[in-house]
Amino acid sequence: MAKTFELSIVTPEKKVFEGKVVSLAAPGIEGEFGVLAQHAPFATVLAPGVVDIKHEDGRREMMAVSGGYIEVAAGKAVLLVETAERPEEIDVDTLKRRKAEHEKMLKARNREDIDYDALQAQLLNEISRLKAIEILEKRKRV
Amino acid sequence: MATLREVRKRIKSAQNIQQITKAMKMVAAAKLRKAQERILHARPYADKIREVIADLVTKAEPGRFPLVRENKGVKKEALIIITADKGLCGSFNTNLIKEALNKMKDTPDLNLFFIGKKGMDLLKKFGKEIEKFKFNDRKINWFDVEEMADMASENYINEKYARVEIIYSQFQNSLQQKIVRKQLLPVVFEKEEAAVSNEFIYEPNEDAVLNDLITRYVKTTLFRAVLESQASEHGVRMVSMEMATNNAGDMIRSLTLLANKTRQAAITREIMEIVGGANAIQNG
Repeated sequence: MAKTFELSIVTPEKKVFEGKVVSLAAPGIEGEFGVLAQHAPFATVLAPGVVDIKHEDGRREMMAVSGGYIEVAAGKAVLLVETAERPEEIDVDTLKRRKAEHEKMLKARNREDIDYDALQAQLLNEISRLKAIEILEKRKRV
Repeated sequence: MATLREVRKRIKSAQNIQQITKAMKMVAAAKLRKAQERILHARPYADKIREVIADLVTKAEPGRFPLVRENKGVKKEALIIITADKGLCGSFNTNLIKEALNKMKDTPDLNLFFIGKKGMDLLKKFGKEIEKFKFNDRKINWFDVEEMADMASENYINEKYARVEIIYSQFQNSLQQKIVRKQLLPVVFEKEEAAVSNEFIYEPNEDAVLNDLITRYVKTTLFRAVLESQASEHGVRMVSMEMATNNAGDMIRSLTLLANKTRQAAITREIMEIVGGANAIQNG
């Protein structure tokens, strides 16, 4: 049986995942990297992208994450990310529609009752999630 | 003496008010539970960041990071005031604003950031420069907070502020809150027992990673303050609505008593009139 290590993925809103995994691939700011059991102590900044987890039973799971921080030490890996979503939690169509809508509203900039800064932040969030989904789709086909 | 009809009308309106306050109390209770859950969920993230940073603090010298370094020679300070959007929650907003006014008195050169509409409404007339405003409702999320924290941090790095403080209400339990004024920037670390120090490989390099972490720490601190203040707000509202409901109940009781007395008096008077009339006929 493959060696495992503890992984926890936490966001400011909730704890997304905690458990034993065999391997982990994550998007570092300097390129993607993999983590196996007994990895050397390591810390880096994460870019928005896809985290790929291999469970003990061989099951694979992917998650779309926004930027964050990862720390690997002594048989434990901790991912601190701002958002982490499983693909089935993301509704692509709604997301795309909302993105288009927000883009349009942002371009118009003619209404006083809209908080444009909030809009911008939402848009960025939507874009990064869509990007993650795109990557996921590509992987599935391979 | 009030007529019976007037008294009944007052009872009715007291009953209506009681219904509303009762509903508001229950809504606040539900929201409080949710807000508490959010705090609980945010805890692992915040704890982890604190842990990592506590480790770093033992070895790092403060001058290395722009958010820890003190901006000497700068007078201007910034204040982030976290209040509620709505009223009807006792002295919640007033207390926060009092604290803010104290700070304003001490530091004339002050920029203000607001989270929550009430604070903005009550403090804008003091003529301080307002940098940013956000609604403090249940939809407020990490991104809103992040934006504000980024803005404050950026100004801090550009040496615009000597200090950034936040004023918020810390949640203790549903009956107790504490007004807290906390320094956000420059970052001060609470010394904790040194964690197990691992010799980490940092990518791209130690400074970049730690800088990123400190920024994150600032955001987490602010996010946590927002969550705490929401929980406090709902706690206070729950209690004050409970009191309002009780008061309405007392009022209804005393008004009902009054109504009954009035009715009784009217009946007595009528009987006396009838008896008087009958006697007059008999005697006549």
